Amino acid sequence: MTSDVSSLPLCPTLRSKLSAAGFTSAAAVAQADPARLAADAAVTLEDAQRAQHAADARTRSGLAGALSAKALYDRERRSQRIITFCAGLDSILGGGVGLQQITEVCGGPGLGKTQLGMQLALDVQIPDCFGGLGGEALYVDAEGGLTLERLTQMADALAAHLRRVAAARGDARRAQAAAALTRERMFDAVHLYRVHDLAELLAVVDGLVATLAARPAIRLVVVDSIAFPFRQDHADLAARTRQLAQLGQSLMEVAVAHDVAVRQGVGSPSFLGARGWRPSRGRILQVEKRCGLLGRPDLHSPGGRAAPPHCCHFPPPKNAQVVLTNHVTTRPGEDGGAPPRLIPVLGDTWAHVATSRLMLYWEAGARRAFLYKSPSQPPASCEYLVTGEGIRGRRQPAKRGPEGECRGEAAKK
Amino acid sequence: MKSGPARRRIQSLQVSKCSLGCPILDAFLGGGLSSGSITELVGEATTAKTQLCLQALVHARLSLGGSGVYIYTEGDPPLDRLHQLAQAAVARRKTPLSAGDVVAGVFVERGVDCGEALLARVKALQPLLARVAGTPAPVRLLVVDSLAAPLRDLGPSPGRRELLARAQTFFRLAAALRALADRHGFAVLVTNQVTDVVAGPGAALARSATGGAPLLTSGREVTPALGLAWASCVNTRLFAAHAAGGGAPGPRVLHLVWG
Repeated sequence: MTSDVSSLPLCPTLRSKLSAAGFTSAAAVAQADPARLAADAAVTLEDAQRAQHAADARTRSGLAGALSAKALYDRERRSQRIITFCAGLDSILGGGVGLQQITEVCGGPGLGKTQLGMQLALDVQIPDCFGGLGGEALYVDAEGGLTLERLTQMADALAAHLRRVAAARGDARRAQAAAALTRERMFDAVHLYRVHDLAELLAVVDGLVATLAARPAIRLVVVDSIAFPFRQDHADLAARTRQLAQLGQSLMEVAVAHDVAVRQGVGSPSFLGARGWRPSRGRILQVEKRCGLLGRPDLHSPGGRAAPPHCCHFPPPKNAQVVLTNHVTTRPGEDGGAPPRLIPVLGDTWAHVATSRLMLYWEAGARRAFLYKSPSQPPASCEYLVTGEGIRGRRQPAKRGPEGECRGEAAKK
Repeated sequence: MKSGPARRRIQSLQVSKCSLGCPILDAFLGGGLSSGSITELVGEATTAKTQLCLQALVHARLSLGGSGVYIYTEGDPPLDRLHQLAQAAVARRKTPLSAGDVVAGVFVERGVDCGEALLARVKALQPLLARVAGTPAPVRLLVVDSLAAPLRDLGPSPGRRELLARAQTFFRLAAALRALADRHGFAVLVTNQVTDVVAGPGAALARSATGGAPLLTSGREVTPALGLAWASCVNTRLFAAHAAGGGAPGPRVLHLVWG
């Protein structure tokens, strides 16, 4: 029996809306947060719940109410991700930015790298009860791109969105959480460091592990950009390569959790195989004996469902996702007459540091993102928008159908 | 271990804007030029770039009470024009300042003929900036008009090495400008020229510096000079164009390319 959305017993309009929003498999529909599903597919909450019920029935393993290990693992992975607010981007990233990764975002000027960094610095703060990390962000600004007015715009839009979702559900707990996320709170949760040169950047990154240990609420580190400080000094290439390697090492320390329980519990072959486990600079890591599978306490599961009894309960790992922005430069065309192309700067020695690499580019006047390196996702591209509210995806225009009213917003360019 | 910069509070980020002297243009830019960042004005000749620079310097004094630094790289700076604009502005506003007061608040740098000289001149501004910082008229605007003149010419047969060396100058210059602008709280306005875009495989690449869309002036497609490296140094890129096709004098249009 196929698990495609098109085969679910739902009305055709609902099915096509789900597909258009990027939910192409029954599993994706079943595991999504109902409010997000409703918002992304521009359907009512009732329709979203009906779709989830149908998808659940399709994907259930046969034991009523039980979740397969894969479904549980997928939910674990999802709940560690930071959404971008563009369904297309989230989809190609596998649910959002996250999972012990260093994500590099390269692209030319004006494409929105800084905007994406700012959006993530706000999205990491989305409270637990909305399926977010409820965390804080550390933002290293090397280009002066983060402005108060733009961050205010994006913060206001995020708060308004959360309030709308809470109101649609009539959920008092979510409404309270959304109301608590004021502008002041959101600004306080972004730890901003302005660096002007390489020495300042290295100093901030050197102190990162200590800073994060003192402030475990920080779950995201953004560096915008990693390229600008390094491009000021081409002269000593050997020194630059050493510094880049050192920087990469520090960032990997930050991204990979020190809690060894995570390593044993996650067990994702791509996580262990691609990077392996290396002690950071000769320090002895504390190895704690854990047994069984990684579990999550009830209150950390979205929707509040109880974890199955065979899982142990550990606190969630305290690591921070790292997002870096990078410039591009022209690589001269090959002699065969191929046209010159744009490639990320900083060279091949840097390229291995990033676990995931996203390339932003223009195509026929539209902004597109191409994921070309990832431990778990296939290469894919999508369109995204930079609107007054922040990073968004392109929505279908509003339509009124026989099954009830549907809300949609016209995309803003 | 060397300690890095301290944490900044988001709420205390600079919001003061430097007016361009025209409320419509200011509104277009969300209030004016932002301090601590680099705004670039690109356009072919006769699109009034210098005019806008001078106007902004006059209004830095009249609206913000601030001094200005004017680095002019294309020969003798247009000081007569500056004086004219100051007189007209003072006459329009009810202000105790005279045109002479306004002009006296503009520190002019001239005789910059190459990239290294420009970088050295910018770095050498630090004592002046510190001295003026404590006075009632600290520097609020720094203008480089134009950046293209000393940096555009790469020599007889430019290769990869010359391009890389020039790119390094761009990044050092942008870093120096932003560091000073951040520390002293002023806006930076830089003017740049254009290059024609030749149809072919290079055209798509030229658009990577123009916000993905072709920039048209006097009926032809152009791209800002100095390439992708300099484009990566600019926070806000503005494009001034002649709306009418070849030759006929007509309206000028200002586009926000990014920022």
